[in-house]
Amino acid sequence: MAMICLSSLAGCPGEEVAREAARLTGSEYVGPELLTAAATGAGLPVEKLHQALTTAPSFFGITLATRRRCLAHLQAVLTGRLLQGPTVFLVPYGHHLVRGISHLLKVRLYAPGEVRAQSWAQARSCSAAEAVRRVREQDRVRLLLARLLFSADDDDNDLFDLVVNSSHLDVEAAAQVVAETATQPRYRETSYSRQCLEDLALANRVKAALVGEDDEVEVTSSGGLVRLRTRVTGRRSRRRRQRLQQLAEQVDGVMGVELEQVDDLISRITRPLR
Amino acid sequence: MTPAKRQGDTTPPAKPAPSFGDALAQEIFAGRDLSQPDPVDQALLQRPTISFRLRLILAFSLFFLLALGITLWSIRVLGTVQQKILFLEVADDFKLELQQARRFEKNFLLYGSNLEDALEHVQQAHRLARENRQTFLQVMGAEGVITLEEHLQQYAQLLSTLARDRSAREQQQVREHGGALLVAAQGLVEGERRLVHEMLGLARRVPFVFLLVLFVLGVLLVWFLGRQVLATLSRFMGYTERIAVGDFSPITPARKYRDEFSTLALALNRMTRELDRHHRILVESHKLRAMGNLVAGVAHELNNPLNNIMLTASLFKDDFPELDDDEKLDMLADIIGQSERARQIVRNLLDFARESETQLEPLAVKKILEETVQLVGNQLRVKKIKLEMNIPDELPAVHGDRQLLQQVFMNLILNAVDVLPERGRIVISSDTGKREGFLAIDINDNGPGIPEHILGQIFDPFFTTKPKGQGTGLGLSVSRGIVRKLGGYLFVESELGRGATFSVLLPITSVPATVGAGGS
Amino acid sequence: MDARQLEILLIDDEDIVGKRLRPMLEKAGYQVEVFTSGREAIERLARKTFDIVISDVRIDEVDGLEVLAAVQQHSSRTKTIMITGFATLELAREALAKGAFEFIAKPFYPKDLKKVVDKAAAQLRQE
Repeated sequence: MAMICLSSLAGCPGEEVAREAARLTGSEYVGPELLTAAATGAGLPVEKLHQALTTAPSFFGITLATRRRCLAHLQAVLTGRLLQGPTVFLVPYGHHLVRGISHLLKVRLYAPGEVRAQSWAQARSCSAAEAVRRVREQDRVRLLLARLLFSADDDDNDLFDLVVNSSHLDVEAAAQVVAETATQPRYRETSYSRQCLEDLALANRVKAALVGEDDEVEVTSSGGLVRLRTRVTGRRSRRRRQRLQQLAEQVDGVMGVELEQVDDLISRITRPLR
Repeated sequence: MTPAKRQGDTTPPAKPAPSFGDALAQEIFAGRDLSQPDPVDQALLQRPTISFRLRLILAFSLFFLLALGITLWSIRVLGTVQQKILFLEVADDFKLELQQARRFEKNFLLYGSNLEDALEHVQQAHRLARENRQTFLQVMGAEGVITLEEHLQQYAQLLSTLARDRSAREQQQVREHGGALLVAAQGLVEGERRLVHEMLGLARRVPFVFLLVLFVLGVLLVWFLGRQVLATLSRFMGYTERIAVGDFSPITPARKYRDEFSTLALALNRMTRELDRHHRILVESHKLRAMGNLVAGVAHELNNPLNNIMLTASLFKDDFPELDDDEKLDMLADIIGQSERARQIVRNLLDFARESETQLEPLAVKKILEETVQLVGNQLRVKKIKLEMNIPDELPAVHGDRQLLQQVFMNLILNAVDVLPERGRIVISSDTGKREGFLAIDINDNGPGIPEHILGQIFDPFFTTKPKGQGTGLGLSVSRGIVRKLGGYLFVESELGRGATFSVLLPITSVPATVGAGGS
Repeated sequence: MDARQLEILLIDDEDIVGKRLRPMLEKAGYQVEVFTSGREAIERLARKTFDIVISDVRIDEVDGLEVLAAVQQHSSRTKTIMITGFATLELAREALAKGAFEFIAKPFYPKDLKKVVDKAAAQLRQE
C-alpha cells in the first residue's frame, strides 16, 4: 500500500518500473488512462493534450492558455484518482502537479543520456543518431515546459524524494528500491496528509471548472472552503468575476467560495528586473 | 584583534523629516497627473523673470554706453582742440600784425617813415579781431574783447594823431597803448596755448582712466554674476546632497525672481517627485514581501486559537444536553476569549499591512518594538530563537512613523532570524548616549557576523547573500531609506564570528509630554 | 487482549485542549492525564508507561518531537499522536520517521481525534 509518483526521463523504463512497484506494494498503476480522462474533461482530443504536454512552445503552436487548461484537467483527474486509494502513477509532470502531500513518494527515474538513447534506439528500432537526437529534444522540451508552466527547474533533484539511476539497476531492482522506500513509516498516510490531499483534490476540481474562464486563476481549498485568487481585476471585469464565483460554487463538495483579486504590484514592478 | 567595523551615514541630512505620503495608493496606482502643476512649482513659476541672459545683455549695454560716452567725449575734446589750434593761428596773426604795427611805429618815431604801414597793420589786426569776434569773445570774455577793441581804436587814433603831432607826450601814449596791446595779444596766445596743452594732456590721460574704470567694472560684473551663478550652483549642490540622503522635499523659491536655474529647479522637483514615488513603491512592495513571510507564520499562529474554538464549539454542540449551565458558560467564555485572541493576531498583521499615510508623530519605541516582536513571534519560535528586549519603560519619544518604523525593525529582526542558527539569540537594547538628540535602538544577534568585504555593500539595493529567490536584496536598502527619511541613521557593526549589531538612530522628538501616543 | 482501560497522556500548552479533550476521551472509556509542559510530561513518562500519547509539536523549551523520542525510548508499544498548528510536509514525515503513529493538523474536530485514538486502541488491542 503506497502512493508513488514516478517521473521517468525519455528512454528510462518508467512504465515497467511503475507496474512492478505497484505490484510490489499492492497499489494500482495508472498512466495513460489519466490522460484520456483529462482530455475528455478538457473537451480536447487526447493527441492535442499529449501535444500540449510534449511540444516546445512556438509562435504558431499550442497557446499557453490551452496548455494550462490541459494541466488543470489532468491535475483534477489525477488527484481525484489518488483519493480512491493507493496508486502508482506515471504522467508527464506528475511531480509538479501534486505537491505538499507527505505520503506521496516522488521518484525520478534517471539515466545518463547515452544509456537512454541506447534503450530508445532498441525499443523503437531506430538509428543511434536519431535516438540521441530524439532524447535530447525531449529533455530540452521537458525543461522548457517545466519552466514555463511551473516556473521550476525540472532537473532539480529537490523536487524528488528519491532519484533512481536505472542504468545500474534492472526493472525489478529499481522497482524494489522504490517499493521499499515507499513503505517506510515516513511515507505513511496520516490524517493531516489525507486532509491535504482532499483539499488539493477539491481545489483541482474547482480549478478545472474555472480554467476555461480564467486560465491563471489560483485555487486553494481548506475543508470545503475554496479560495480563488484571480488577476482578473478592475471594474469592467466584474461580471467575469461573478461568473468565476458561480462556477466554483457549483462544484461538488464546495461549501463556500472566497474570491480575491490580486493586483500583483511586486511582480509588476520586479518583472522588468528579472 | 580586528576592530569592529563601522559602516554607515556620516553626514546629517539637510532637513529632518519632510512630509511625504499624501494619498500614497492613488499615486502608486494612478500616477501623478502631470498636467496639474504642483503648488511649489507654481510658486517657482509665479516670479518675475530676470534671466541670466537679460543680466548679461544689461551688462553688455552698460559697457557699450560707457564706451560710447567716452568716444563722444573724445570727439568733442578733439573738436575743441582743433578750434583752439585754429584760434591760436588767428591769435598768432593778430599778434604778428600788432608786432609789425609796433615795428613800423618805432620806425616812424625814429626815421619818420612807414606810418601808413603801421596803421595798415593795426587795421589788419582790427579786422582780424572783428572777423573772429565770436571766438575772441569765447576766449577772453566780453570785457576783455571790449578793452582790446578800445585799445586798438585808441592805438589807431593815436597813430593817426601822431602823424600831425609828434610831441613826446603823444609818443609816450602810443608806446604805452602799443605795449599794452602786445601784452594782451601775448597773453591771449599764451593762455590759448596753455589750454590746448591741458586739453591734449587730458585727452592722453582719459583713455587710461577709462581703461581702469572698464577693468574695475568688468571685475565687479564678473564677480557679481559669478557669485550669483556659483551661489545658485552651490544651492543646487545642496539640493542634490539632500536628495541623495533621501530628503525628497521639493525646492522652494529662494529668490524673488526667476532665471534659467528656475527651470532646473522645476526639473529637479519633477525628478524628486518621481524618486519619491518610486521610493514609496519600493517601500510598499517591500512591505508586501515582508507580509508574505508574516502571513504564513501568522496563519499557523491562528491555528491554536482556532483549534481551541473548534474543539470547544464542537463539544458544546455534541454534549449540549448533558452539560450544566456553568460548563456551558465556561465553554462560551473560552470561545469568546479565543476569538479575541485570534482577532488580536489578525489585527496585528492588518495594522502592519494597512496602507496609510505617513504620519510623523512622537512615538514610544518600546511599544512599536513589542508589536513587531509579536508579529515575528512565529518565525522566532520556529527556529527556537531567544529574543531579549532590554528596553527601559522610560524612554524619550522619537519622531517618526509607526508603520515605517515597524517595517524597519521587522526587517532587521527577520534578517537576524535568517542568519541565526537554531537556538540563536537576538538582543534588542536602547541607548540615548550614542549621539546627541538621537535614540539608538540596537538589534544584536550572535550569528556568523558579516564578512568585512561585503560590509560596505549590504545597504546597496539588490545586494543579497540569501539563496536565489529567497531575498529581494532590498530589505536593508529600503530600511535605510526609511530611516533617513525619518531623519535618522542606520549603522551596522559586525565582527566575523561574533554576530552583528544594527543600530537605528532616531531623532528624539522635541515636543514634550506626548510619550505613549505611540498607538493609534 | 483484555478490556482494561487504555491510558492516555495528553500534552498541549494550550490548556483549553486538555480541558476539552479529557472529558471527551474519558467518556469514550480512556484514562487521561493532561500536561501543559513538555518537561513535566517527560518526567511522568519516565515513571509510567502509557498506551497512547497525544502531544503538541510546539510546546515550550521541550518540543513534541523530544517527547516522541522519550516515548520511543521507554516503550515502543506506545502509540504517539502528534498534533500541531504548524503542520508541514517535512514535519509530518519527520514525526512519522521518528515513530509517530499519527499526525494531525490543528484545527481539528474532536471526533477526528477520537477516530484516530480509537484506531490506535484497536491496533493496541490486536497486538
